[in-house]
Amino acid sequence: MHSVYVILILALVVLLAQTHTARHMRLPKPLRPAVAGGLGYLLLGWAGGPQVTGLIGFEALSDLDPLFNLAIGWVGLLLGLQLKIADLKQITPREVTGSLLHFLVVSGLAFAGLFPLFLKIAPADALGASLILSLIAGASSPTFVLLIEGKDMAREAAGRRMLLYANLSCLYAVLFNGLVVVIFFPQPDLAGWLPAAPLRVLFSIGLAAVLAFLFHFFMSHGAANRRLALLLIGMMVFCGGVAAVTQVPPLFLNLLVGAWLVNQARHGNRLYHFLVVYERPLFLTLIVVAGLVWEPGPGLLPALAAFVVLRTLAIGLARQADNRLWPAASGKKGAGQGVPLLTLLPQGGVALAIAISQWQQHTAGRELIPAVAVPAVLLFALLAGFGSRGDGKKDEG
Amino acid sequence: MRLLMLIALLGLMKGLGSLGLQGAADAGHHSAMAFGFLILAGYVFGEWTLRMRMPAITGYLLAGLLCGPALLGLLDQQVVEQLKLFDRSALFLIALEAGGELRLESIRKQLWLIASSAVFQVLLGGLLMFTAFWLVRDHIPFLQGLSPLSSAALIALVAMVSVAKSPATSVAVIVETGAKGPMRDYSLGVTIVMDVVVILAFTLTRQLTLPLFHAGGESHLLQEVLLMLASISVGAACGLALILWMKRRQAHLHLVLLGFCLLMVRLSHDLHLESLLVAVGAGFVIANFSDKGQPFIGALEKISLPIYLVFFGITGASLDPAVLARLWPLALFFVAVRMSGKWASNWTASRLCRAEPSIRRQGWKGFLGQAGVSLGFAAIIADNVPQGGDQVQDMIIAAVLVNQLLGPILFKQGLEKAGEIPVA
Repeated sequence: MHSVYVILILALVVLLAQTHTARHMRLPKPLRPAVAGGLGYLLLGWAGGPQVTGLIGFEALSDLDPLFNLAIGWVGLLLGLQLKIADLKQITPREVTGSLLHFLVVSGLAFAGLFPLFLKIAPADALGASLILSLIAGASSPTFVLLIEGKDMAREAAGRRMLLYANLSCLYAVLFNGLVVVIFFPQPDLAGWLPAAPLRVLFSIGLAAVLAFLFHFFMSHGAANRRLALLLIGMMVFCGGVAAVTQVPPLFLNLLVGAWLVNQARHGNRLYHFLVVYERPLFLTLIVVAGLVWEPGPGLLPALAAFVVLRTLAIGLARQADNRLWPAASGKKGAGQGVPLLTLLPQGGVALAIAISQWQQHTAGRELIPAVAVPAVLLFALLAGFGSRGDGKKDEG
Repeated sequence: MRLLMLIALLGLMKGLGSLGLQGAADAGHHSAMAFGFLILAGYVFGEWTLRMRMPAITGYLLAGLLCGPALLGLLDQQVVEQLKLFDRSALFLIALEAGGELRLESIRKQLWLIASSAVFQVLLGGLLMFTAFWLVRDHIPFLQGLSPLSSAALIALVAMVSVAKSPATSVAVIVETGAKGPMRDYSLGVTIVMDVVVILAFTLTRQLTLPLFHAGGESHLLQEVLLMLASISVGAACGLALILWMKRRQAHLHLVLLGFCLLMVRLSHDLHLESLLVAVGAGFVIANFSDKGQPFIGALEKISLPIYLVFFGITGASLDPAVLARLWPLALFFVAVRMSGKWASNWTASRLCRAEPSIRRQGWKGFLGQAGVSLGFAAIIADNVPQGGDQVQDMIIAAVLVNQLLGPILFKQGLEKAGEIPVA
């Protein structure tokens, strides 16, 4: 059967099943975030992919390249568009330091545990896979955090801080991922042309700046609301193509472009609104693709177990440390105690997008990274569901 | 300024290529960059044409033409083929929108006018084209060396191709301008009817003429009729299924429609159904036999702009201006005669049915656009007519380029003159 049939029939089944479960079944509370978050689509992609039914081959995926670029670009641009300087100024240095330390502790512990393990499992890919996975480990999903903990979370000082940490963790993950790939795993031609790593970093930032500058002028005259969507799609697909050719991560490029546009372009603010309109199809595409590219290899189980355990421990530790270092940040004594220790456990679009872009760009640890990261997203959604306070009814996005 | 930025982006693409940064990237990556460039160029060109009171789709076509293999070569033939999945899906969605815009009430009002216009376009328009080419047959290169009977057969095929029009173009202009009124209903109605009539007329002509060229053209009128009926029935069934879906679930309808479209394009292809009729059937049933017409059209409009850009951009990329440069006298002759045929058939039909003056004067402008169907017919002629078939195909490609650029502009102007475009 043709891949298009398979994927669409399965998508309809998932959509119907989701509607049915939402309406008629009283799901156990811990499962609700995972179901509402569209994780059925992850299973859908996996079920239709080469590992289970083999109905969709890897070669069929290359036809949909522009669509993947769009989905990955969307994540990057959406992150970048949230980096408005006026908003960033409201974040205190303490919060920046705290979130960065949190990220570095989680990533560092994950790397320390994963690297020796990967040296045994896949020595050739050990450095690449463990570096990228440790960055993925650092990323949380603010959307999932809200979904799991409920909207009340944002009313508490500690809850707001955790949401901010989750947002910033995505930003750090994308930025560090860009730097790591450009420094350690550059495109061979680029490495030949610019052998020094700092020059490659400058080149990548310069490339993003040039793209942002050019796109800025496209927006300078403004456009009717509906037509702006065209501009966005064109920008994301073009960035995806440039990223693929230069092997600079597309998330990194799109993030820098988004950050420039929201601060410099006349109509930069409106872009965010348009990204949200196209959010659902692109997010679901990302999830389905993540399921498709999941390829369990030898040694997956220990790697996955190590990743999940290390990340869970690291997040718990980092949160404890954060509470001790800055107890006053929670506003008053006792505040923040209602926010669970593992609030930052769930992962989402950024983790998946990094894993997929790594798979798409044929860089180090191509199979290993999505093999661990994709089921981990599912597991963390389930883990975070236990002990959550929210009802998981908020739609994902 | 935006043109400069486009040139700069082009320079960036070329620069990345010349730096040798292609080693690890396969063709797909370059196609992604080129596809992104096409969308951005389409956006810029669309803005320009809108400012010049022309439809945006003309801009998309020009962008496609610019990026296509014939000019900049950013989208080579392989890439254009790769993008065909998007192209076919876009056409399906456009046809779905056309079906959704068709109202039973307005069709009933103009039933005779629509039917007679379609019949006159085939008979009168076809006859005019046949006569014109027959009269100048000594000067037509592809008719040289053919017997009178074979010449007549080939001209008959050309005449049938000239009758075909692009449904997507009409629908895109109508949706883009938000036109409302009798001329819009008339153009839409004739467009849908012509889609059926033209295929039947071409199949019949093909059946009658191809044996003269000793070609093994496999086509059966009855089979075509049955397939069309099957297509409309499948479309109607799909429409009912979508109504049921919409009654149960309203959220993210545009996403469901996208999925439905991808599925149906593939299914139609595998079952040899006419996907356009499937789509029109589905849209028509939803708009006329349920109260879900508004949300349905609303969801389609949400995704229509990128779809139009992709569709017309790829159409533009498939056209070859070099052929026009080579065959312009013949192509312009074809275009002029076709235009006269459209005018004459519209005038006759509207006089006979006492249509409104705006339709009588401006109606013909809605039938000039020509694209996929005509190019498909031309390919069939090239495949089946050993002597002169290729030249006919080239002439039609050149003429389609002119018609596709002129058609939307004149149609928009016609709607404007008919007073059916709301003032912004």
